Amino acid sequence: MDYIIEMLNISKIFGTLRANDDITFQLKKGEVHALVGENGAGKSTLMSILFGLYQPDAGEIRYKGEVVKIHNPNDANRLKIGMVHQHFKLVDVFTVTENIILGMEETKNGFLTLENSRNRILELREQYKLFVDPDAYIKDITVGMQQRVEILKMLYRDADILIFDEPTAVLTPQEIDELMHTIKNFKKEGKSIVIITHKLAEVMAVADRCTVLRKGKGIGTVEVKDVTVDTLAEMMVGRKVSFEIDKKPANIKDEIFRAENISVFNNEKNKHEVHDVSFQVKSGEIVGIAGIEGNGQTELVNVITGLKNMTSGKLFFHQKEITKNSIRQKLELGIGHIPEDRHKHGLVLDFNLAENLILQSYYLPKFQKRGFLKKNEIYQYANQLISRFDIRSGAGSASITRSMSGGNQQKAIIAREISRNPELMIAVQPTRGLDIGAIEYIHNKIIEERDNGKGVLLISLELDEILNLSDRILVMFEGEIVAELDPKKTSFQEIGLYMSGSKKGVIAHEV
Amino acid sequence: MKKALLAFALALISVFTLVACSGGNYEIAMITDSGGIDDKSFNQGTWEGIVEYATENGKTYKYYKPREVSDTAYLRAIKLAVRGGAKIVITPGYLFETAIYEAQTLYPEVKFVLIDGEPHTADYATYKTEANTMNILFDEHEVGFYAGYAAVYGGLTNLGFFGGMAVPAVQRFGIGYIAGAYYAADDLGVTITFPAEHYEYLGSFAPTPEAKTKAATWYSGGVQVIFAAAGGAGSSAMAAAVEATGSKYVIGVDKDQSGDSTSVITSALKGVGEAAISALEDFYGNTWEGGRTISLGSVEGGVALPADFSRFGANAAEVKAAYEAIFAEVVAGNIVVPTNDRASLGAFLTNLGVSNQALVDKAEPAPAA
Amino acid sequence: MKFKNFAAKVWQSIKNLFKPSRYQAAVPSLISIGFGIVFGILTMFVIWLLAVLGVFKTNNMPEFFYGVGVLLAGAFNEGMDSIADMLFAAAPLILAGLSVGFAFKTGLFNIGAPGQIVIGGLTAITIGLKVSLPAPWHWMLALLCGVLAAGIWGLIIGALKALLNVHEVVASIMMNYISIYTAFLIIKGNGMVNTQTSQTLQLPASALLPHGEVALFAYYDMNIGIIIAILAVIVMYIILHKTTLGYQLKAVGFNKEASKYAGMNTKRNIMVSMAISGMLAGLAGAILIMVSGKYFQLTKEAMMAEIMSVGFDGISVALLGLSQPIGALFAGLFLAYIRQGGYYLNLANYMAEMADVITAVIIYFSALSTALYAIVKNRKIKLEALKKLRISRRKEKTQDGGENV
Repeated sequence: MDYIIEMLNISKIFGTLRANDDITFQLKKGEVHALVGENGAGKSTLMSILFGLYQPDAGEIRYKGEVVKIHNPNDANRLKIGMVHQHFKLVDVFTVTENIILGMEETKNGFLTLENSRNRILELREQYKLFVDPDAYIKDITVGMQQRVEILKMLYRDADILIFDEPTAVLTPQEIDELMHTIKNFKKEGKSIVIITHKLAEVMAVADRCTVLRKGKGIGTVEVKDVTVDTLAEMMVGRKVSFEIDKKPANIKDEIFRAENISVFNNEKNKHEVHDVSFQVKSGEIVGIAGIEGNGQTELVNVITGLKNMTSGKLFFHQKEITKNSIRQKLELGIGHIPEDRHKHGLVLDFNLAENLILQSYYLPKFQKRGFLKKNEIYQYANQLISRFDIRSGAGSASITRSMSGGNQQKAIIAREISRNPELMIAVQPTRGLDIGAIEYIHNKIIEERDNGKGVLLISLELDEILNLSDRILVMFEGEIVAELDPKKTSFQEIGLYMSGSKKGVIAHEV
Repeated sequence: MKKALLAFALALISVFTLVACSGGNYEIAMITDSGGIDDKSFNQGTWEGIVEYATENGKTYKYYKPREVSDTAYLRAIKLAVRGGAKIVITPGYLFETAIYEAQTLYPEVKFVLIDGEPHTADYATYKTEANTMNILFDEHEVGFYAGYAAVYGGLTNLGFFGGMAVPAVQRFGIGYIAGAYYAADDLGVTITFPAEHYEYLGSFAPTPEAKTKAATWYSGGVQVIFAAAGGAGSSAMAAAVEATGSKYVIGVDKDQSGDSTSVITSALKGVGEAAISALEDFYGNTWEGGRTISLGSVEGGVALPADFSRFGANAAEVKAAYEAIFAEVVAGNIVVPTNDRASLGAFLTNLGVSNQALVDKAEPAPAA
Repeated sequence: MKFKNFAAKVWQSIKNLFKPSRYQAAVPSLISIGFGIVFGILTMFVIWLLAVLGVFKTNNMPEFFYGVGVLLAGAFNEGMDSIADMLFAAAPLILAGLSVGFAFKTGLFNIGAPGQIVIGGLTAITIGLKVSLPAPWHWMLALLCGVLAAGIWGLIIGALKALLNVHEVVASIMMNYISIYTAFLIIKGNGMVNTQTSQTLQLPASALLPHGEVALFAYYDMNIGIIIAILAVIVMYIILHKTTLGYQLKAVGFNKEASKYAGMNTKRNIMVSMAISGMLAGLAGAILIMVSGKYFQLTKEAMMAEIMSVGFDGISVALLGLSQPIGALFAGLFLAYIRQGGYYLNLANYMAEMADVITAVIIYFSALSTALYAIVKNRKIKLEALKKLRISRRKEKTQDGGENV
């Protein structure tokens, strides 16, 4: 067989975790090979081993049939292996050219000579239709363009084996289409491509073969043309999965929350992070905010919850102004917040589960008396939530949160927020990095909240999530709300155009 | 685990038995003040005297470092010295006064030599020197007088003074220095410059950048010589003198410091080592006479300038002769050098027809009303 | 019946106290103590060897075995005398360690403890010399004022951090210098100097910590300082583990962002935390100085060496005690113990600083050992996992083979 890379019986152990357990992965020359699995299945670990970032504890790697040792990324480069990481490795204040040549600069008398490199980049750009301005600064170009820079970086190094780690996570649907096209071009050129992903639609669209991993084990390699999305999903999760979300029609009532003309000006960047944003959330509806990362969603949420100050604008809760209220006052009024970054904001990782579950309510008479914590009540309460929300951990309510899995950490946050019974739930990226089981669970909980007459503001980078859950969709682009859409009447493509700023809509304010 | 514990316990027990059977036996003990025995000053001078005597006479000797600076820590160090077999304990410095007050009654069979102080209670209410204790003070004002006299006689007419802290011994150095300088000026019929702002108690015996800067400023302002009665801080003045343009000098203190820097023109010697030796001679020669305070001045050979005057250059012989003459005058009692009080210094200067009240005030500030 | 329940509960908590798992966290500290002592003994051996070989010229030969003996015997060298000495020396160390450790727990590095100790001591001296009161009230007032003044001193650092975003380490170091010169200014400006010695004046007996005549307390300087330190340990333990205040402070310390998210006033918490830390250091300073025959020497160097050093030792104590109140108690006692041993090294012709060599090595190791311990532990787990993996694979293979045959 004509394998260019073979990874045979690879095992990698981190502490007690078997990240890779006897996995075999074989890449043919000139194929597009998808590597799929849920978060934590071991995809990134496997590819990091191939790229020389980790050493396998067992198993061997063969390049064109010969056993090789890849000790570091330089070895990988020598074997013409290139990788586009999920989080780009670019220097913000350098130009595109400077970033591409970084590490293999041409010099003359000790001075950089960029001319040759620049020409080479222009050639590559034409050849693969990867349009970027070689003289633009990274900080000034879009995420999609940055990804092209990363791809050019691989090509500049003559890579024949291209690894893409979750390449579509940060792209708009249009950009995804373009990327798929580029990948097909590479295949025509005879390059071998690995795509790490958990989005099965992409696999079906572009891949020839697909290797499925689950919990560190290799489940199998299949020809894509022989399988359906459902079989792949079953291989990935280990059981039948339904992608449909059961949702009753919304029963929308009075307004709960209203934001009026919110603006946040960033003095350092000298631009508006949020610009003149107004919207409302009513009882019984889920309002989804779509947008590419970094278009003001985070800042908007932080302003609403009080983590950040706004430059101008007003907030209303049940028609009462709460612009100047403290975070605690807002929490007490009934705003719940599932934060974007559960480690940074959501949890005190060195506290145990019980302590985290009372993070906002420790001072209430229920949990303290004259300044002393009521340990019994606190642990009783924690145990209730643990059983009600099925939070799993090593030592129950006394488990240190740091030791818990991401899904269970997120469940703990959701348990805490829901049990506080807020009128308005702000959920930011509530399922980021979770496996399908946990995602289903969390989606159901969010819908439950809505059906109980609460207002939900959902911010997500995953368009599926926004489309499936929302009753109304707002799209943010460069700090502004550029469209208000009905999920039943819109499409991926339409939202994508708004997200990338290619289209601007008219928003009907109901004030 | 249990075996390891058992082994550890056994080791500890054997160690304790060892503790019981050793400990040394050192007859002559010194307790160090806050600095170590290499402080180039008081501790070192005393220690060198002890070493000299003990090696010549085949006696055992040893020094002890207290845990911290406090009366009790000093007392505990004395106790440790006694446990180490001390028959005579020498303590350099006034910080030991309270500790010796206690120790002399606690250990009547041990002899104590207190240099530069007299035993008293912490509140100064009671002074008492038992028969097993001898206090040795020095006439620092006399050697200060010689230093000032020699400096002016050697042609250095713009003077400065660094004192470590405004404690009596240092004040005596300074007051003698002022008196000697003006006395020489009067002898020679020259005018000298010694403004009050060039007389300073640094508040520290340690070399600091601040002291060096201050010395450098003085030197560039015309000061030719600084008498540094400030322990280690003297080296700051020496560094500044070496770096300054022109011939700038420092007068050393306690020991002959000419080896420390070429800028040291002479030193105000204080015979702490000699004092220790003479106390040891008394002790071992069975001529111990305790219960008293002796004051070592010019007569007893306790204070002097070093015999080498070569750093005065062309004037060397002349200065040496002048110094020897004035030394003889003081020994003979013809000159009474003012000690550490403002009144006697003021009177001394008035007699010379000099008025520099600001300097007198700086040397010993008037007591608060 | 009720009593029986109560007794069972007490028995249970005593049993819990001795559960090995409770002390798991202390293992790295104990390992590094072991390393430090071994290193110290090796150093002593090398010194002895060099002296015997004549490389070092010395008048008094070091006695190796005797030296190791007195070093390890620490506070047991002179019976009750030296035990009392150790407890006396341990009290300010424990309090300083408590101060730094508490700040660590709440996410702050209070390197300003030395300055707060100076302020605590200064205030105690001022009250002691300038206020006339009968015995119990006088020392109590001096102690209390010392604690409060140092608390304010710490609060300034906290306020600078919380309100103006000045890093607490920078502010602390500045405040340390300010504290020395503030002390000199107040002492000299108010006639509290003994002009004979350039030290502060002796405090009146009413302003000294009670001495007592029972048991250990009759020895030398021994006073109620150690009792105050132990009480402070208990109080801090309760605050950290049983109260909403401690809960908040720890939350802010572990994760400031999450605490803000949860509606806590992080700025106020930083200030409260620094104030409490300052108060503990101030207590250390007051206890240190409210002793007969202990003075402030009015030079910067002496202040650093004799007073502020206790604050820097506090950092060691906190590190060794893993920032826990109970840890500070044991670490403070240990440091005092080994220093006591070092002091007796005088007798064996070794420098007392050997104890500081040991402490330094211990601190280095305890900083490293947490990491080392984790590596060793992980390696063990990993090896076991790999072994299991191989065994299971071998089993699979033999099973497969069996079927084939």
